[in-house]
Amino acid sequence: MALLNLDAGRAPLADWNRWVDSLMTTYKTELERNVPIVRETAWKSAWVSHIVQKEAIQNSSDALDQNSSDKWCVTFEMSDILPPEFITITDQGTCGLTGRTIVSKDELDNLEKTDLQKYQQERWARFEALSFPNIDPRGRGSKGQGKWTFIGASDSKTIVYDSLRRDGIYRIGSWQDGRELLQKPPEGFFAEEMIKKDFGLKPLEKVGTRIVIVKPRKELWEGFLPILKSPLARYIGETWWELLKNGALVFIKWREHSARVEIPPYYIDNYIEKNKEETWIIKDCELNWTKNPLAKVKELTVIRSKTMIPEGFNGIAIQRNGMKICGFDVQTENPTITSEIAASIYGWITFNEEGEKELRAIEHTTHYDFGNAIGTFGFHVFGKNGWLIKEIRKFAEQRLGLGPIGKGKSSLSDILAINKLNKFANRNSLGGHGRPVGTLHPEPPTPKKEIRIKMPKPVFPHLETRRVENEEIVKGITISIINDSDIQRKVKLTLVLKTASRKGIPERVLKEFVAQELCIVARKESEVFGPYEVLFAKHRFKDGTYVIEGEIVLLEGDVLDEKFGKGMVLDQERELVYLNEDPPTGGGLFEFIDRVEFKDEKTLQYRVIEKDDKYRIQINTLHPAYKHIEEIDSLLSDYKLKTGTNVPNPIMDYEIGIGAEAIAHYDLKKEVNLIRNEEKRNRFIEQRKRDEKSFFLDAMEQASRIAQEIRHEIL
Amino acid sequence: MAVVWRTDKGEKIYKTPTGQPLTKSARKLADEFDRILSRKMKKVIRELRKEGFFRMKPSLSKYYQLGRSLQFVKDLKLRSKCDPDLENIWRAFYDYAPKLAPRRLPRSQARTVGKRNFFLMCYRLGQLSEETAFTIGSWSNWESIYMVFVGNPQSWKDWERILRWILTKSEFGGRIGRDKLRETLKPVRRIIGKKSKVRRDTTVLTEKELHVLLDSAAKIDDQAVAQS
Repeated sequence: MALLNLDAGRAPLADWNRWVDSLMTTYKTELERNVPIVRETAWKSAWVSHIVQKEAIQNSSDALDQNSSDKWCVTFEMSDILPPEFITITDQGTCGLTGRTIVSKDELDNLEKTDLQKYQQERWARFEALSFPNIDPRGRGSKGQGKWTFIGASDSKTIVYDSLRRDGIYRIGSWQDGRELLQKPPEGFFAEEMIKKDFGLKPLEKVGTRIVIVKPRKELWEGFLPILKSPLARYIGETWWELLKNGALVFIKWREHSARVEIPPYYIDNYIEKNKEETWIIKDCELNWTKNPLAKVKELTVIRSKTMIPEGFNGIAIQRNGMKICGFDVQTENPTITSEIAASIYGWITFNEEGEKELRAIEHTTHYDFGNAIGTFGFHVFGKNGWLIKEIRKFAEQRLGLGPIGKGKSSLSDILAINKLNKFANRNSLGGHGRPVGTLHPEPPTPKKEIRIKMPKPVFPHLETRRVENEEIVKGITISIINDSDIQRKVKLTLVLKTASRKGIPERVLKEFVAQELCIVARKESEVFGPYEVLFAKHRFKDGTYVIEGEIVLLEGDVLDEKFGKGMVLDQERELVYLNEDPPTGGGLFEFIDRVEFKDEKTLQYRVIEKDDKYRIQINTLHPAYKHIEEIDSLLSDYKLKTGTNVPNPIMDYEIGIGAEAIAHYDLKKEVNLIRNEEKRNRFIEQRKRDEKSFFLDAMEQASRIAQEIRHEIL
Repeated sequence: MAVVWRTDKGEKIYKTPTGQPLTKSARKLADEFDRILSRKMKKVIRELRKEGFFRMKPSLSKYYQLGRSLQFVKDLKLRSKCDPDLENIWRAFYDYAPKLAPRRLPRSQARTVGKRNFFLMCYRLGQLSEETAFTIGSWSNWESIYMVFVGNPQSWKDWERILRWILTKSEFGGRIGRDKLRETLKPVRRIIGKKSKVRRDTTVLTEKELHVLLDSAAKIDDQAVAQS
């Protein structure tokens, strides 16, 4: 290519400030997605402090000097007057920013390939560079971009850093508002004078490094206050609890106050002992990760506490080298764990050195998440039906008694699939169960009532189901009355939320939205009441079924008139809401679809079990056809999560495919309603009668079985 | 959300409302509720003994007295957590105070609370004023009346007014006649029962209108009897 022969090497224009802002936005997105503690309303404004503490402690702990006589310690300090002029982050017990100040890119590249020890020693140069990572596989930082967050945390995009080394060299450097680096960072006396003059700070007395964030952003310095119970301390506790438990010292200082960051109580042995209700501990467990069989889980601890655990500490903390990367929601693929129960479950997972190496490879550059695309270590451990999900499921079943042991998992797609299959079976009068939704002998449509309620379906948090979880909101509840008659009517309109009726148990009204007497003019619609919404808060609502019910009662007329007499309930509309429980599957031929492991007949895709005139479909989760579908489903779910768009549901489609086959078999054995051509149908029935030994039906089943086995072999 | 029941052998069963899973914390709460109920019922027994409950012959007044003593359950804080709909608690009373009931726990109620649970009936009776309760006359009369309402849970909203009408209509010679009561309950069932042709909310009716409605239903019955 001729173009390649031309001289190149002209640096592109770069606006560092914009680049840093964009980086901070990426961090913020990851933070909001993965760190619930930052979502706590009171502290939303301190999100930058979470990023800064994570990056600062990470950099410092990677520079830990094992031979230092000083104890490793990090101190976050804010200047006295608000808004503060600067914030410092100082460490000791580290080796400081060793190495030369000016090292060319080629030289660093060369060292990375040829002399790893020297490469690691060039800390000053790497700190000032972009994307020269720490290559120590045990290092917490790994991408060489954390320091940019310090620049991003400054309103003036300015940071100053000074470092004292073991060899006594004291040096100062800075990044000033996009003007990039100092040509020649001052050392010794000049450096000491500068730091005194510009910030009134004493030069470092102990070996280590200090970062000065000049004109810190509000979202950073607000993390320091109130100083004795600061969000910053809580963030450090949440991220670095493992290091703190091992004796690490972190201080937060402002004016004359100094607070040592404490370990969150949930990780203190005494607290665990006192508050645990159930635990699940696995140690040194192989993961059977074929790409690196040495990767193991060092420890998985799952604790069900007697008390609620705050959202930030909920779930399983995924730890790498003492740092919490993110939390894992215990409800993932474990529908038996309700939100109420999940709120009291927490724990952690740590890995051996090989496991951490694998984790590091898939860790996001922000250190707030892992990639778990199919085929990666992340998918194997945290992905769909991954190691962690299975362990949590075992904990739920064996320790909490949630979900019958041996019964497979069921999810929304199973319910949707079964509803669609039952609807089809009912429409075609198969099985003689459930409500006929028929088109074969359709009943005449019920005429609309003259005076009726208009209550559109409320907006449920999940489009396809009436199931809601705690803290979710059912919105858009509206009601109005339509009077199609020629007479004005006086009515009482009520709209309430109540418990669903159970046999002999009166319903309990929990919330009254509307209770109004209205005059509805002839041929008119009343005003629209609402929209109302219901927040299914954990402390107010128990799991179960609730009803949003609208009713109109006539307030005038002859009480003896059975059409428009006083007291007549003219119309009623109800919307059922299922809190933390699945809506029942529609009545019909099938009872449910169950996904289980076929330990004996691995080659089969499914089997149909008949019980009390009902059918249950069991789907083999070990069959490769299912596994493929599950992987596609996982990919699509990721896509849906990231883009928020609606995507197809491959597992439901797979189940419907199997259900369709089961319906076809059923129909040919019994009613033969699905052979639409009358002549062919009669001929088939005749032939079936003659087939006394059911040869054809057996052959049909054998063919299906063989096809499933072929799929197993080919896939 | 569970209530402790006991089997014949004294083993504990944790009964949750229909369809709810039993969690460990629910079990602990149920155990605590069990202790509280057991203590409360001992106190109830002591007080009833003082009032001569155990010397009384089975009668409406005896069970009204029991019903009054059982009213404490609606105010128990833990009850709203363990049994918010007053669903499973009644069967548990057979475990704490079997002697308060005239008969042993019927087999049909060993696994599920029936509508005719004795303690529940006493509790409902205890909600009435002394005067209304004694007008009912006998336990079997109360059973008949209670079954009309329990079959139509919606009707509990207006049960005291409807009951007053029933009692007025069933009075014969200063007391509630058994046959007369049976006849009176028929139109009530027709008006508020599940098989009623139309659904009504009687709470919006005035006392007079309610009586007109019920009287008219009763009249139709009378005419049918006369014709036959």
